[in-house]
Amino acid sequence: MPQDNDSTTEQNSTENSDFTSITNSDPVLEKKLKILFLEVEVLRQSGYRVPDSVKLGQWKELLEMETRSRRRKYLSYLFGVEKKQENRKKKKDEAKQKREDAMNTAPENTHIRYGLGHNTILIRVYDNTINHFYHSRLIQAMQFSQKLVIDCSYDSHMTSREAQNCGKQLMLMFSDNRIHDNPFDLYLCNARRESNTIKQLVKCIPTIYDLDFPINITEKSYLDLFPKENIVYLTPHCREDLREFDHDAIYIIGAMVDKGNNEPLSLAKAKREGLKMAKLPLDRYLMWGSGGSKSLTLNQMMQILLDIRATGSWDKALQHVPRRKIITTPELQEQCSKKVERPKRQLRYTIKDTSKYC
Amino acid sequence: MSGPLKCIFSLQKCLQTFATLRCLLPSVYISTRECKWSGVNLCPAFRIATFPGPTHSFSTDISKNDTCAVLQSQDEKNSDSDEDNTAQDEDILVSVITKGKQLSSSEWEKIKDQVLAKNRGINGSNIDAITIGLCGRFMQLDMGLSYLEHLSLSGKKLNIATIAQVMRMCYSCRLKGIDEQFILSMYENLHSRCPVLDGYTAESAILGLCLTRHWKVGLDLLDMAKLTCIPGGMEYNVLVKTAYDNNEPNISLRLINEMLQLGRSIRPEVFHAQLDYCNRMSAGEKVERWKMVEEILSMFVEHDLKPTVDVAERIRVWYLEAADPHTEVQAQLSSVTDGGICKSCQKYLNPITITKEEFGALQSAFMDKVVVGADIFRKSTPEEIKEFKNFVKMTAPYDMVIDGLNIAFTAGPKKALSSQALARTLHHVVKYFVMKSKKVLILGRKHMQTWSPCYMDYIYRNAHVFLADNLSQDDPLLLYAALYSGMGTKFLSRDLMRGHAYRLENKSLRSTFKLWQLQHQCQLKYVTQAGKVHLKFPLTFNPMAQVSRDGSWHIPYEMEFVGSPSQSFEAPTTWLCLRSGKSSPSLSQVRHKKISRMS
Repeated sequence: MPQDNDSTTEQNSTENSDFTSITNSDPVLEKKLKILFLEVEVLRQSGYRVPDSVKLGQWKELLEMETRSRRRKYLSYLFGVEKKQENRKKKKDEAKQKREDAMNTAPENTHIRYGLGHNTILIRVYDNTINHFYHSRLIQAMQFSQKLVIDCSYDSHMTSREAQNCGKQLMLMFSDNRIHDNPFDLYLCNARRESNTIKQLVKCIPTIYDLDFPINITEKSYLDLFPKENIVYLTPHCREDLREFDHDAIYIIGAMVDKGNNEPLSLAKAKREGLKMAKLPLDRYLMWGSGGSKSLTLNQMMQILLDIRATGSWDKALQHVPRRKIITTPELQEQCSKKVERPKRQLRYTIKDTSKYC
Repeated sequence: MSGPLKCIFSLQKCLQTFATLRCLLPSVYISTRECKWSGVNLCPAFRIATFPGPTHSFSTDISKNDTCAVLQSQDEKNSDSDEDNTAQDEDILVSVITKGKQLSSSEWEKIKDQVLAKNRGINGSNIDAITIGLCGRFMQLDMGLSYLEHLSLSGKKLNIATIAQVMRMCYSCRLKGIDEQFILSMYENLHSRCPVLDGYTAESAILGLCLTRHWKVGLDLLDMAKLTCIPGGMEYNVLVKTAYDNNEPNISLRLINEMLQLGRSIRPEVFHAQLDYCNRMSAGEKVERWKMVEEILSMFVEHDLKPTVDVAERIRVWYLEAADPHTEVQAQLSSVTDGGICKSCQKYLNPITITKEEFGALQSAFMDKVVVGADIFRKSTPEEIKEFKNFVKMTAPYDMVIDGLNIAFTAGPKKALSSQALARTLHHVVKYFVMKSKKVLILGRKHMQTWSPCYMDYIYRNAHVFLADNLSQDDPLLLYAALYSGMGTKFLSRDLMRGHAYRLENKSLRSTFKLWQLQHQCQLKYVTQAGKVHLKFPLTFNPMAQVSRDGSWHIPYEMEFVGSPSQSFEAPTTWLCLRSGKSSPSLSQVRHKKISRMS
């Protein structure tokens, strides 16, 4: 439809939304936005992967990007998201059609209908019931259990993509916590509502700010809430290993996705505030393979801490580290054959490839 | 040839030229029927239409001359993921276009229908631009023009991207001769529909306009492109070249400064255009011409540029032509020894010079930007910094600052070394310097206190030692101490210090730092157990283009255009040496002073 393309390029775009909210009526930005409309159109006409419609918030992100390659990559990502939604909708429609066909062709049985969605001898347990059960256990934990603090002050050091990823990890962490037999009492400190991390978390759990939701979110710092002597900051950049899990200490995990940034931000923060620091004894108990960095996601950290608290055994707890990061037996044999002598000072376990035993 | 073999041979041929011989479809069917009894399954051959290799890197098909390099930079901007889908769909188009036969309107229509029927990435709105783009990549100007004819016949209006691709194609096929009016009419069309252009369209328009007499509009388009993006090297290079071809050196120089600021590299075509301009302006007067070329050479010196070998050759020939018949001049492509002596003229190259102001600026900026940075706790602690500053103030200046840990680990892989081996290595290195009565500062970390005492004792007694916290980074402290001590101090480390250079955000500070580093960083090659130490001392000469006091030029050149600035610490090996030799006194010009030359 060439005519449509022309009209979108020359005049305002077909979207009728109000763009002054993102440009703040700044003429320079408005001009730049118009040029970006043209750019997106040109990319579409040149065969690049560009979504059919770009929403207002996405225009705002595009406006902030300086280079063309960044915009192109972002548009390609939006294209992928759009296509996924389209495909999902298509599949849903097809499934709906199939269901309707099946319903129409089923034999008419007037008195009862057997099946899992209809009459069975099994009691139907709804998701909400399970949620209530978990939450009631969490509320008990909030009264009696050990506290765990998540420090959400690293939003300014992350890109928006990393911050969204972090928000999702926070949600997963919360869910891992509530499923466990002995949950922690979670505190999200320094959690500013406008930060990208918390915005994504609210997207995942819309009711998180409700008064009866079993989590503590506060914009205050943990220094105001807890005494300094009990606080231990867990950071991967320090030297001391965490030997034993202390049930009276308040552990802090930094909510940070630092794939791009290599600086020891959590270490710097802990040093500045004069807190005790520790790191997980990964080197002592695991042999790291060549693939994968030593960074763990927040939910993996949560699972490790929950298990070490419950069992006191690092071997059990560190089973939550993904297998792909651990060295496999063939790789180990290769390394052994290369090295002449291996200092056998530390006890190390290797996790064999267990897939063939499943 | 026996029957089956004949079939297989013809089949091979068919498979190879399958896509290009689609119109000969019936004959392919015949050959399959013939070969069916041989048991070869031919069905897969019909379904796929892909060439074995990737279709968007056309380097094997296109010869590497400058015209296609223009487009390859367009290719470089396309990431693989972008073009994956469309690349497979383009196969039909690619095969048709590479054949080079002009097609009529109806034939184009058929091919378009074929491509659209596949319904992957190509649809009605982007097929035009893609087709013209392919014509441009393969330099099939006639096919492109015939496609445009087809479009006009079918009454379809050209969209913006198509016009841009047309202009790009005109530029890449410029050697075949383009009608200027055609390009101007295309541009008029574009301009009337969109007064303000985006980055991509502006780029293509600049390329097209530079072939016409209205090339100056390209400068306005460049400013327009700057609104939303950083213009690429291609536009700058083309504009500068066009400006020189049209005898406008001021514009060229302004653009060159801009593009060097943005980090774009200058292509050899631009230098050739510059030299042609000098030739035209001097109207064959050799001496005049050389004077203009010297301005170009001063630009090389100022911006640390390296020409390619063809440019260097031209300069060399002109130098010889411009020489006074009575003066003896030498112009050779030579090389430079490690000590800094040019092999052809046997003279030392200039040393690296850093002015006092530059060095002072670097010293003061270093503490703020690198050691402290955004947050002092990331590298160290405030108390430690204070302690270190006092320490340096009291014990400076040093002759040599050593990165203790970096040197100690030279002996072997980290895990295999005992603390005794580490201490021994360090001890040998310190002894080497102490024997030469140098004042040494060693930077380490607090855990070094546990190292073997017999070696460490010697070190503590004969050198200054500062041990930082185990959690602090010691590299910034090392560089600070070396800078504080002034220009006479060298430092020893194998680290390239690139991260620290990056923190000095200012471009001039970074280049000063790099120069200082080239001049002052020693690297340790090896240390034997017995105590033999082999060091690599820093460069004594300036590895950039330079003119010496007696007027002789030394320009490093490269064999092929690389494009990215050199990151290594190795000095360039190929140099152009231009100098004048012994001359008769009266007729020599002022600049060519008498120099004694070794025979």
